[in-house]
Amino acid sequence: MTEHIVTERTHEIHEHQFEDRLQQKEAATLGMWTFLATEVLFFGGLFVSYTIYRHRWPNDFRQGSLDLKWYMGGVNTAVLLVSSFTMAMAVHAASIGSNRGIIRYLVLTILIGTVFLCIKGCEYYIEYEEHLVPGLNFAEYKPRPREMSTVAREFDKFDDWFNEHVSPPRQKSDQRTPGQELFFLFYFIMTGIHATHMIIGICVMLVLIWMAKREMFSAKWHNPVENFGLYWHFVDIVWVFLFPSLYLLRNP
Amino acid sequence: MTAIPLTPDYAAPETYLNSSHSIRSWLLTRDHKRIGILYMISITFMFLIAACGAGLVRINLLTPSGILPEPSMYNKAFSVHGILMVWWFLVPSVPATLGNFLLPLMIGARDLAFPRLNLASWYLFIISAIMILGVVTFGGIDTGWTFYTPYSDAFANTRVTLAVAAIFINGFSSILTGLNFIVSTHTMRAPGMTWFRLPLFVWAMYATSLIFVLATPVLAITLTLLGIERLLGIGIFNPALGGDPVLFQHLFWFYSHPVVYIQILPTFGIASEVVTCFARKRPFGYSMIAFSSLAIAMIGFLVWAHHMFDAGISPYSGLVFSLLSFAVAVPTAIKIFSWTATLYKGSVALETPMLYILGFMGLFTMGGLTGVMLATLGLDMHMHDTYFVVAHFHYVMVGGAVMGYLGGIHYWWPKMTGKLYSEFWGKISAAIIFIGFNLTFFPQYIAGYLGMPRRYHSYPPEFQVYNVLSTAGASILAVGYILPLIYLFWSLKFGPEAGRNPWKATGLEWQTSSPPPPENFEEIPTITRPPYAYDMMAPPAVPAV
Amino acid sequence: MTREEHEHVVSPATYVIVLALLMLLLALTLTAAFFDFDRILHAPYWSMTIALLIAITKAVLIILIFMHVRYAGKITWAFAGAAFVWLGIMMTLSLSDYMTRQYPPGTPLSSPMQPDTQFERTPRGHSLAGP
Repeated sequence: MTEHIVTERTHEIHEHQFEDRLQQKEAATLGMWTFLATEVLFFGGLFVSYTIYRHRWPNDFRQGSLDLKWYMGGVNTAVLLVSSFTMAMAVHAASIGSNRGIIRYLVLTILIGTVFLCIKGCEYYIEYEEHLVPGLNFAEYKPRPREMSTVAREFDKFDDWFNEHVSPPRQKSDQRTPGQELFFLFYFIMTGIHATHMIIGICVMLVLIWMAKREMFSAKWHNPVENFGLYWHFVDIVWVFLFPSLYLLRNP
Repeated sequence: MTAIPLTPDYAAPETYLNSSHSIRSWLLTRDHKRIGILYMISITFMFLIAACGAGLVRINLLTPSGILPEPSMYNKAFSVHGILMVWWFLVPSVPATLGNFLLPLMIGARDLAFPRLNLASWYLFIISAIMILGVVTFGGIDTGWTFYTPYSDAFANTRVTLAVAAIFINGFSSILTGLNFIVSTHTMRAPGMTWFRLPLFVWAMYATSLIFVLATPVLAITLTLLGIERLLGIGIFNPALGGDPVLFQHLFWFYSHPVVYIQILPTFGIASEVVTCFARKRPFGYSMIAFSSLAIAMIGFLVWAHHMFDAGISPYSGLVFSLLSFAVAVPTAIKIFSWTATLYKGSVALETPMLYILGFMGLFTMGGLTGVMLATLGLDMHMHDTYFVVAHFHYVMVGGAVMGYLGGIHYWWPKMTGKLYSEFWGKISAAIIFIGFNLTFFPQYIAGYLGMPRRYHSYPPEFQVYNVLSTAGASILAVGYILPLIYLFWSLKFGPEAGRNPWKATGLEWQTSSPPPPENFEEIPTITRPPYAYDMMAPPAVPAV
Repeated sequence: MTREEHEHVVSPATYVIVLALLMLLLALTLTAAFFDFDRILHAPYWSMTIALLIAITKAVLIILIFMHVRYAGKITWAFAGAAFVWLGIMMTLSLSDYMTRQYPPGTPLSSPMQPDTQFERTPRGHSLAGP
């Protein structure tokens, strides 16, 4: 790949089909925005389906949402917003030509993204314990306490305390209806696809770190970092909409 | 025996075809022209397989009780025909072959914006083709190309998951092509090539690419949800959970209606090019034709539920979709009027491409008008799921898109290969295709209106005469399709040299050699003239070829 | 064709301010979730609207500042906007079907009083099908 020979003139090389670097940068950025438009419609199909079913079965979806750990989702939202910030800082480092800055902030973003995935994993585990996984073990009644692990039981105790003393949700029921299973299908599919996008993002960041280690980026050419930043911010935006839709349905 | 030495300065000019010969140079090419040729070969192969599916369908329908031994074989035959034709032939036909080849030439660029993505797009196409051929070979698919739930998710025994995975990957191939075209058109036009100096084919490809990019992801998520439901055994379309099978139809048709505009818009672009060239006239209403391409692309997103009028949607919603479906006919009609007005008082030459495009205009108009009939709620209640619908979409897709595609192939064949084909055989094939096509599909209008349902392997005896006529027509159509394969192939070896501009057409692609050099142009041109400046050209001394 | 490069470098201070704003909005989201606005304001769909508005504000901040759209050309604005417009089309027209459906009396969705999937659970659909 002769386009990326590491010399002092790296920043002057552009691919043969372009007339100059600026045209290449314009094309790359527009290409990434076009790709993000496809992603908006990809997730959009899920949001539309979710909205339709929430309109149809508002009670079931509310009950399902009460079984989710809103505080874990809230912490995750904060985590992802911080990772968006570190990503923006990485793009800033790229625009001033600091490969070390890029590495520093990309490593931070990866770490913070991994924290998000770990919390998500914990949530999935607890939901598995509580028999909330459709197609696997979705049960019609809440399992009795001694079948759950300590972790899940502690969270359950916090939930009960919160729901009783801080903000009682309307009519929380212990029975699980088919509509709640539908809700959980959406929960797992939507957060699962979102998590997949994050994992792909982390893999790409590893490649970008490898490129930055080889001093490939400069103030004049850093399209991959900038355009990946767009992708990462998009993943954050998806979560910003996912969180209240799935976790915060306590009231209609 | 003395060998005659070649003079030192004799060298065949370097073209994209002879610049390197190894298989590796073709399979790892980044040249948009070679990728266009790779696509052309691939989709022709898939067309032939899909045509076999059609053959089985038509043979089965020769007798009222059905000739195929099992009804399920018939279901598999029409499903394979539809699936392969839509995604592995029609959708990539013009964009991936002619679009890939011509877009950079027409905008005056050396290649598309993302050549490696272009090659990746072809590989995704090939991988998906292998997967769907696997489906066809091992078990088949019998859900119909529409994969309606609840049959496809809960009851079908055929290779549904593999089929939807194949279509998913094919969808990515489409998205990458569309992305490439959009970015290239925005950022890589030659100096002086303003938007309103672009050929109408480029406007058509741009509008098509908008649909690629905005519609295909919705298909992707729909098929993902269907696949999850197959794998998990439970899903969001399942009524046992409160799901709605019609939601699948909403999501599916949100893509699948725009996809029919993907299939026809590029052909509209070809028509604009061919009509102007063979009428030796500027197009009537250039900006109307350009804007109507965009309008069709956009309004086409608003009409999808006209496929679902009797699926159980609310009648109020049906009214809205019916009105919007009437609306989309307007920009389409504008194009037909514009081409007709371009022909008026033009110096019309009836070469092979022009014959195909004239046939396209007439047949597409018939198909389009029957589409407006189907958009009428009351008529659709009677004609939905009958052969009237089958005839309608074959008129627009085969009489329209395929004939237009063939017209485009014949028009740009000299540019792509540097060779001329036999005009005599070209005209004969166009005539055979036209006759065969009408004999195949016109009886289907009648049969459908009289009530013959579609997707049934048997039918009441009173419809037999129409089916026999239709099958007879199909065999003539098959001959018509095989002939171009033969004489176009023959022209590669034995055809006369085409020269740079055999049709004396305007457009940047005709300013470079035939076949073009790998870098498209010796020097990137600067555009100063308006497009289709036929009035500024001297009349040809001899008739064009 | 030479064009000038003007890459607007956004200062880290701006990013910090935006992050702080986003965190504030997150706190707002959580607080608003525990109030039943439909009952407070005596009208339907208010809780959902407020949650959506806060989420949209967060998204707009991220798009304009983190994704540099504020400093970008018209084409970028058009592309970013078009995606959401198309999503809006899909949402609006699909809901136009579901919100105007009328169900026969006696079926689960016919009355808004019991919008619950408390119907008879039928056995799972497919016995023969494999992937």
